[in-house]
Amino acid sequence: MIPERVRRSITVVSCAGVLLLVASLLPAAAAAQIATRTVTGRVLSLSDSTALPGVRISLLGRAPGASTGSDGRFRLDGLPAASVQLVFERIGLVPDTVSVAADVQTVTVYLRLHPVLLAPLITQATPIARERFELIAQTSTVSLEPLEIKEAPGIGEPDVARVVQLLPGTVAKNDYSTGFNVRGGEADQNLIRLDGITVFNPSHLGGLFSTFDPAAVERVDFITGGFPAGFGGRLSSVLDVGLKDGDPSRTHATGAVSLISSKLMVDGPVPGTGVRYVLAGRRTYADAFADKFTDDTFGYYFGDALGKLTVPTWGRGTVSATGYWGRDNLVLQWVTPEPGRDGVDIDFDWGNRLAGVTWRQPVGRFVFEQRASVSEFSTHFGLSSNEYGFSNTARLYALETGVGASPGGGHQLRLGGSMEAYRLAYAVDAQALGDPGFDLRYAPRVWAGYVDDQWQPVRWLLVRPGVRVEHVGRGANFTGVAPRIAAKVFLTHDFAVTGSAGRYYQAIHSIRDQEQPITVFDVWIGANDVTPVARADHVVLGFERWFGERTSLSVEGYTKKYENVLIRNRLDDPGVTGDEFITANGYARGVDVLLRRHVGTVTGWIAYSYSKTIRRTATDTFPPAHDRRHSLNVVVQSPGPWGSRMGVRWGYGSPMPYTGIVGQWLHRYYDPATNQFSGWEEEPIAGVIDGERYPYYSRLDVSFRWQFDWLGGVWEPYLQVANVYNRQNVFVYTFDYSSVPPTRSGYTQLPILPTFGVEFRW
Amino acid sequence: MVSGRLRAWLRRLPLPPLSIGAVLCGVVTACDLAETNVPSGESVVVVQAVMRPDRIQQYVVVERGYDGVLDPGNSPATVPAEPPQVPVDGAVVTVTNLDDSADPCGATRFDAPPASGFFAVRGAYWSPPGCPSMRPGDRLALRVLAPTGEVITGETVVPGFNGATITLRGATQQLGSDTLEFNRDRDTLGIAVDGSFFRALHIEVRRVAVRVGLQVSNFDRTLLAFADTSAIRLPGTIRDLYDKGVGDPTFLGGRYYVIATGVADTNYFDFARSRNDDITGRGFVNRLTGGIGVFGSLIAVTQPVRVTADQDDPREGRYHLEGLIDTVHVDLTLDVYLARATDSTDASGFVDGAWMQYFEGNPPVLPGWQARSLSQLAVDGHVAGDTLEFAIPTRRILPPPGGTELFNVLVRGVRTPGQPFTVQLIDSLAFGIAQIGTLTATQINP
Repeated sequence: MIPERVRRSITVVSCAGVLLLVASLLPAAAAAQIATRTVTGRVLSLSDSTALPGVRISLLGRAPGASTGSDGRFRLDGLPAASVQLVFERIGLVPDTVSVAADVQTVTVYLRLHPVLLAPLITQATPIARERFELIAQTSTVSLEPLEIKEAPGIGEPDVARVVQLLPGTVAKNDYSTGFNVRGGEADQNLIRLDGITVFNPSHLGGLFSTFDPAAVERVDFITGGFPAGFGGRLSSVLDVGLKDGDPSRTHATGAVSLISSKLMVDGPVPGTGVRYVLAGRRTYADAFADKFTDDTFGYYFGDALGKLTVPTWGRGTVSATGYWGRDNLVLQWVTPEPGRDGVDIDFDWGNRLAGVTWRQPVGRFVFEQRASVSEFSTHFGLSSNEYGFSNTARLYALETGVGASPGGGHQLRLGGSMEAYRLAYAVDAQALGDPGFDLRYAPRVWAGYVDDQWQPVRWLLVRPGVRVEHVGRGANFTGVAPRIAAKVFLTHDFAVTGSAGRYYQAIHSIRDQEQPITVFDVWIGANDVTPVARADHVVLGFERWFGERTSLSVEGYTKKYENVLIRNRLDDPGVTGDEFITANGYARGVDVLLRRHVGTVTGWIAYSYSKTIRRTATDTFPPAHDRRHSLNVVVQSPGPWGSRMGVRWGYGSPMPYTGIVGQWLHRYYDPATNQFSGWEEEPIAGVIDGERYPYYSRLDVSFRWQFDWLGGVWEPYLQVANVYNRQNVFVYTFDYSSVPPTRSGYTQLPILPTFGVEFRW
Repeated sequence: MVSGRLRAWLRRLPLPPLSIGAVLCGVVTACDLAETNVPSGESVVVVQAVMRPDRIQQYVVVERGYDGVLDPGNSPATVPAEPPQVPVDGAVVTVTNLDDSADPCGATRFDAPPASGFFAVRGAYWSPPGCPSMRPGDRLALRVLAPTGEVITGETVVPGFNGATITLRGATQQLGSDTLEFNRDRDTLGIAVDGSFFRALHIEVRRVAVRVGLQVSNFDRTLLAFADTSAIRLPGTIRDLYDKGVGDPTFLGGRYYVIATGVADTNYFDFARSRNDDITGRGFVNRLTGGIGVFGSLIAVTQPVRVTADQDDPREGRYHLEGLIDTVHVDLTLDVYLARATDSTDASGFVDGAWMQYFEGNPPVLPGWQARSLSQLAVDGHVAGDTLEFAIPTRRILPPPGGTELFNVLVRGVRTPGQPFTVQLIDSLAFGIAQIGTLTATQINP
């Protein structure tokens, strides 16, 4: 129960956030009616003519409108068509004001270095989304900038997956999960890639944190449906994360210390070679400190490290190598050691590691791209006494080739193919008892070829037909043809009707129990003679409207049809192969709305989703546990109090399904020696599957970030508060039918949770 | 695959997010939701029955699950020695052998419990002796008609048992033969079953805590596991992670155990290995229709085991206790094994020899101690420093109309290495300390 006083303040804060965003949109809309112009240019160092990134450019007396990118270039839109005074400033440089005449469209500005500290790198050029709107037919795509990820309020530290969960069409089952369900799909139906390399289970700490260090991320593209022919292997979405190449001009050290972890990243050039690199590492340290301050030990940590090396070839080509390693390790002492008795630990570790090399080479009108990679997720759960062990390994060897070409006639053609060899193993044993248990192995091999052509026959039309053919061998012997098409019809320069459709196949599956509120990680199996290849058909129709070049509105309706989706069979027989899952069909229908302010002092978005999802098995028809009908997320990043940069997120989610408990029974233990039942355990009895719903969900998060210069670097302390009004969102219910009357209790999701940390950059 | 209650224990382990959530809850605010009343649930008929071809008589337990209407109270836990929490009276229970048309039992009607006597337990329904007939591979059909109209049915296939072997240090013998001695620190037992129509092994180890003459008491289970194999290995150092989950050693030196090996049908295996998840309420493999529970079948054979261990501590080893109590010459050997290598620790030991019992008297015979021999007896004690204390059972023979009363005599003394030392005998039933007498103890092989 929220006190009325708090409830009123919540309403004020929520409304303020919405009004702030709406208010910020109004000037932009008005400005769109006035004749404007664009000025582009470059900012260089007066001393050595090197590019100066992060220089803020503003119209005299106005807030900054753009910043230079890593190459010193900038683009400033919406300027009056008259002569203007532009201010160029950045910490470490002597500010300058430049007069730009009405007929000048390009300027080069030289700034003098000032012996003070460097400012953080902030890029606010033309939104990528606007470029995509104008140039690409693809629907259902959202790009996230590093700054948006950084400034979105979160738990402990910025997190890519947490921000993705706030986008339309995306549902997170609870606060403890970075996994997400996209437009009615299961979490294993999301293709998650890091520099083009598949990542199987991109989360730490049971889903509380994702594996991607935002500091190392350059771009995040999230496609929620109707994705083009170049993507395959998953049914629902693509989360394509690209790492930075490293600063070409100088070496930077970036780090952060938070309540959760510490991390450090170094990036920069190898002098005189054109080679750039990024090296980053992160580790939690609760395990290291817990035993120093308490009598208890905390046997959990996660750590990850990534690296990227980019080597230039000829003609703007590059060869880049990406590597990632991440591991969660949990050691729980189950049996305390005593003199004469060994202890028993539960050893539980899981994580991803991947490596890949990508060669991207423009040759004339063609761009060739080749990639070889290996990605592995592995987990092991075992007792140190070897009385029980469980392991699951998913390894993927992938070879990809593609060529993009602009043959003329408005075509942008891309041809490609790939070979994916999976090695999936799922084993349980009890070595101490001499029981080998079982060892399931899957080795599907997926061959794919695709053609993807974006064609602009006339200025107002973009069409992107494509087809992908996939063959799944090694037992499955499946061949599928997956046509794809996307189209965009421009009714005005800023308004387009969009649509896409496609068929999608998935040869590997996670056999998670959809009713469990937490899945620490997915357990992967693959298609073979008993495990089917899943299929989904997408149809998306909507429109996208831009208000100037900073604010956009997109509305998309979709329908998806699923076949052969696998759900974990809790009643499987360990002696039978192929009953580990239940096959389900179903559909998802819905509408996604995204109103987004991309650039400016105040940025953010309002995302609303309506979705209805149904699954059908041989015995049941039910809404899966992620069937949230209405979701609303308001995300605002704006100047805050006390000179801070503020991030606000308010989310609402309509009730989610769960399976109610209708009674309990006494599961007795039979004693063959005495032929009696001795002892029992009370066990719940389930009602209709997902026949009940939890109360609605809502949460307000805020974050504040400050910036100052110290010790030759730029420091950014931050404070984040999750669930500001401490709403008791239900995590799970528990029932007790042994009492009269029966009762229900349970546990909440995250309570109000303040966290803080500091980031720094040299 | 080894299964059973281990899975249940593992499910209860604090998963990382939950533990983190719990930490946060503790730091920030309470995360428990307030308890609220909910409407009454569904009243489910629960039937649990395991047919035993190796037993004369069979029984079926019929009860109801909890629905929040009837307060189940706190009934004892052993069924059918005691009634289940919510017994079902007046049910009609029959078991039919579907594959034996010549079965003289026909459709065996299991009787409702009588009003008095051994079988007078509500909710337990007993078959006539020898019925139903059960041959390996026979299908038995259960039908329970509850007085409220529910019909619960199920089928089981009777397993066949052709014998089992137990292997120790390369020697193999038939399971169920004489007491086997093995060293928990060095040996591993191998058990292999030759059977038919069975799905899984039920392996259970119980300690025979006290054995006085032929009387067996206080069985304590130290291991329970199920495996869908025909062979299993039991290292002497295995610990109880599958049953109580506390990790205590399954075997300790100085104790007797019984290893029960059962061959079970699929229904019983599913019943034993699966359970409903606390959150989802699913997971139990229910092979009954119309209700929940089990209708399975099992044949079990037991093997007594005498467990020794390496005796590394100087306090371990064989002691000779001798002396005169009244006119009774006591002459015992006590083979001591420590449970932990600590200064103060539990201990067990095998005791054999001439012991005593107390006769209350029956004129003209006066009360007093009488001679009594002990064999194959394991006793418990405690060792603190060099002080040893063991409880050796005996009995008090009551005057007419007769009867016996068991009690322990505490044997307590301070060990003197290499020297004889005195131990006191104390009546544990007496208030305060009632010293019976003293013996002289000598450690034979320190």
